[in-house]
Amino acid sequence: MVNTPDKQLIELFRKNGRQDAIDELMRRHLSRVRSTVFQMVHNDSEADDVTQEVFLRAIRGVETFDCRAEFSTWLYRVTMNTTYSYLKRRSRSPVDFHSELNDPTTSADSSPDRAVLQAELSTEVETAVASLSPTLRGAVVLVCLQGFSPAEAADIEGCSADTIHWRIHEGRRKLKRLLKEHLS
Amino acid sequence: MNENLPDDRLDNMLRDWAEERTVSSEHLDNLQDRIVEAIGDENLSSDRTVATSRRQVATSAVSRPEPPYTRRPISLRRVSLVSRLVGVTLLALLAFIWSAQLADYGHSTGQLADDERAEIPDYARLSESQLRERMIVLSEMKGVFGKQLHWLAETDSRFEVGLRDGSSASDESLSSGDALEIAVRVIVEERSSSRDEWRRAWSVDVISQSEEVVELAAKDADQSTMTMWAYVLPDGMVAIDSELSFSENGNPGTTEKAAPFRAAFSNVQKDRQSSEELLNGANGVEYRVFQTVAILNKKVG
Repeated sequence: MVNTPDKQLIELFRKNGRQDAIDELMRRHLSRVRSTVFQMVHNDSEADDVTQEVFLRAIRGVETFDCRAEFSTWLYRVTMNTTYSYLKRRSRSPVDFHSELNDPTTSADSSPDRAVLQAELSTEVETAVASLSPTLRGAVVLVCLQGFSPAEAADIEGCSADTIHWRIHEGRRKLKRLLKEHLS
Repeated sequence: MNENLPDDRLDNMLRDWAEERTVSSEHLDNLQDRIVEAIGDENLSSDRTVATSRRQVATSAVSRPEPPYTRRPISLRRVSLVSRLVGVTLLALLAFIWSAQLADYGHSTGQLADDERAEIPDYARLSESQLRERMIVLSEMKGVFGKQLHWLAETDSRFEVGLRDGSSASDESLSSGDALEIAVRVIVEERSSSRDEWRRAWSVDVISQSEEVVELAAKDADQSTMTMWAYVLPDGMVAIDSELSFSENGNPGTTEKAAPFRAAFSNVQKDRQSSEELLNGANGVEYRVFQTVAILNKKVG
């Protein structure tokens, strides 16, 4: 089972009802799906909930998976669509439009404690990533963090590779502006 | 073509953050158990064999591939051109030309699907007559600015022309003959509560070329900003990414104060189709944003 390709596992589940095939698929992809979701929503509890929804949706829709396509592309398309839907629902709950990013020039603690500084930097990076629009964030997460090529990310997002290139460029430009104190 | 070179320092910083926020294998084990349980609860496997536990599956590290930093030949040139855009406020004469057409709100004959007609107000649509008028204005502006012309935009109080500087004017300008030109109307409305009437907080009409970035920059701290990028997909749909913001006093063209607003949207829309987004803001203020797109030189005229 461990060496069985994804598509064969799908067939085992479809034709023979092999739940262990689903377990194996989940074992292979859970970590990456969950980290993708977290990098989009920035909250551990919410990331767990959305990840669960991703796999439930995938299993509900597994009959629609076209085995000529890559399973991972299909799964990450489900992942991104589920995440965007979640972010859309979340955006409709009251938010504070006054909230702004911490000023990186003033928020850094003068303490020499490296761990503290690293934690603060991590928070600033997270805040900067969170400030990107969902689609810019999605492109940055898929390509820069999850290692998909722009063409693969385009397939996942259902747009052109040019669109992904532009989104990455814009995402990086905004992140560099927000994190310039740490990049100089 | 596009170019998107990696930025090692930024990307390393992002990866450090991602690594730091990676959850433990125990956390993942618990999450997988939870998902298996949820699958059982849904009875998704009622006709399947009994679900196995994740622990019955041999474990192996789930590897994260290294980012394949592609070094494609590019479109950074295009993006760099954007950074050199010069926003020019035109004379009242130009504003008058377009504003006269904006007065056409409410008389649209937009070609929307029947199920949308009840949802989208007429003034949010772009009618055939408005599109024809925009093409006339565009043609006139091309005559004035030639290849420097990049985009046209009108908010409630401003008419702006985006120009490239002379050295960067190229075939990518709006005056190039074969590129697809896109008109986009964005209208933001707000109300203090669901019992109140919607009132227009901001609007803009933009003409740009496919894949060009339009940046309406604030001229001072109180004015609105918009960044928009539209792209005609091979199937004729139009992908639009846009970000809007305005501050408390920053609704040009309106005398009333509005609540601060900031939002980002990404839609894929049909030609002549309108979309609607509903948002909740601070202090109970509700927003709705209409966005209509039309390809000017494909079906119009």
